[in-house]
Formats: sequence, C-alpha cells, structure tokens
Amino acid sequence: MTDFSLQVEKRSGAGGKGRHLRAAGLVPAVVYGGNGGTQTIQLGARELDRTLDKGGATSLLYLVGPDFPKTRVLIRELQRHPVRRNVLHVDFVRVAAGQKITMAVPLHVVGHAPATELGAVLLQNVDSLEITCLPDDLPHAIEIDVSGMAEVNDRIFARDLALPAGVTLAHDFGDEPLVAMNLSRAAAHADDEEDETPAEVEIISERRKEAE
Amino acid sequence: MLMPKRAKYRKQFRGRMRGYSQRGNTVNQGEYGLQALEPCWMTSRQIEAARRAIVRYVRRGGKVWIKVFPDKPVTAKAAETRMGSGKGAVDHWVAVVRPGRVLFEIAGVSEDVAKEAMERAAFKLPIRTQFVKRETLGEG
Repeated sequence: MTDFSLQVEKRSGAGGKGRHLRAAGLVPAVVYGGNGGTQTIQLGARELDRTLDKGGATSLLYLVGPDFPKTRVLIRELQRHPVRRNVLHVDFVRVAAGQKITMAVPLHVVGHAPATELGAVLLQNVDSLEITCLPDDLPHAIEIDVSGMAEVNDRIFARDLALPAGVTLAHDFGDEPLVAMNLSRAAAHADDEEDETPAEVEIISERRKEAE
Repeated sequence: MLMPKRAKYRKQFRGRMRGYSQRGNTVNQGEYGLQALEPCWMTSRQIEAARRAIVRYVRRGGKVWIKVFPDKPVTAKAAETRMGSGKGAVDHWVAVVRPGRVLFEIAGVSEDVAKEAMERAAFKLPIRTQFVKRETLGEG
C-alpha cells in the first residue's frame, strides 16, 4: 500500500479565517488523536486533491512541514461544498503503529451480475464499510463480486464478504443486504395518470380541537 | 401528485430560502442524480412532470427515486376577491429546494441514458440543474 505525504503548515488562531485561506488556495484542517493534542493546520488545496484522486482518502498519510513534526495520520472527515464539491475542511487523526484503528473504506462493486439480463437492477445499499484493522493492513477499498447474482432478489450480505487478512467489520450488519437485485417497477408506472385534484389533507391541530 | 397525508397545521408562513442545501446534497441511493443549482419552491406538478419525463425515457429497466417531497402548503385568494378577510385557501403544495439538493436519482441504466433522462426532467423544472454521479469515499 502506498503512503502519501502532504506538506502542511501550522495555523494560528481558529474561527473566521477559513474563507481567506480557501481564497488563497489553501484548505484549513485539524490534527488530533494519539498522544499529541489538537493542532490546527493548513495545506495546499491542489496537492490535497491530487492525493485524494490517487486514493489518499483511505490511505495512511504523512504530514510534513517546516514547523511541523512528521506525523502519520488518516483522514477522519472531509467536508465538501454542497455544489462545487471542493474540500472545505479536513480532519486528520494520528495513527500509532501496532494499534488497531476503525475506519470507513469504500465498497466497490466488481463483475457483471447475470440477473441484470432478466430486467433486474443492481442496488448498492451501502457505500462504505467500517472496518477494524492494524494501520498497515488497511485496504483502499473492499471489493464485492456480483458475478454470482443470477436471480432476481439475490442479495449479498456483509457476512458473505471475503475480507482481506487482518481486517474485521466494525459493526454487525445483520440481515441488511449490501447489494440486492431488485426488479424495476419504473416501466409499470410509466403512464400512470394520477388524480389531478388534491385529496383532503387531515389537519391534526383541528382534530385535537374538535376532540376537546 | 405528491402531497402529505396529514398535516399539523393547515397553513404555513412563507419562510426564507437562504444558503445551500446542507443535507440531501449527494447521490446515495441510485448511481446518477439531478442536482438543483438555484433555490425554488418546486410544486408537486413540476415534480410529477419531471418524474414522468424520466420514466417515459428510460422505459424498461432502471429505478428512479424522487428525493424531494412537497410538504409546504401554498395559499391563494380566489379570483376577483377584495383584499383582506384573512389568508386564502390552500391552493397547492411545494417542496422548498435550496442549491445543492439532489432532486431525482436513477440506477440500473447507462450513463448516457441517465444523462438524457435527467436533461428531459430538467426541462420541466423552474431552476438550473446539473447532472451528478454517486461519489465514493473521498472522491469529489
């Protein structure tokens, strides 16, 4: 697994400065956890984007800087703009070697499900899985093979997953399927001519008054 | 058309539509979506027209989700009525949409089909929109 490094600078003061930083091509961030305290930092937006594109969101990262000791971290949270999707803020959490971590990694669907030929639609109910492992065993993503899904209503559960060595699921999904083959009902409702006159809406506050 | 089954009060204040949609701004059920870029009151008729445009285009295959619900009553006074005498009767229902809100999602179709379906739906809506894809962790 590749480790990435990011150039960071310490950031003094907090609150109200984020907009100026972002205008200057920087992203405000914070490092916490492990043995150190909480430290606010800033880093280059373009460098961060490049690292995220290469899979840095679920990889071990090294934060380095002229006034910052080399720190091994993981991204705990990324805040993005609702429309522009640029990164607004990053939370980094310190990682100690030999200490197990719990982290969300993306769930990638691989293979072609034969049931799609029968008119079924592959639904992915879960985007990411929380896993527990040692930092060095952390996978970029968990793959889920759907090539065995030959029938409509076939499901794959978390217990069916082949997890990499040293990796366990952080919580039990029970009977909630990760992916499912559902029959599309879109066509059946294509030309439904629904009643155009609005039905009566029951008003709860008035019903209470009448009861009193 | 979409409307609530029951409401706590018959009429509501108009409210403001400031800022971005802080929730419901990512595709999380389907693979592709249609995202609002402007604020608006989207009526149940507009939502239904857009839904029909999508479903008619994709025909068989594909699953569509409507991610907004018109839960706000809008009142109007009857025609040729003098001003005063209180607030008008409930005329229709709207969904309050802020920029960033994902309005529709679709799964089980190719990207080209999804894009065309969403474009047809966008013609039925009163605001600018953009086609978006599902993001996995960390991707923008």
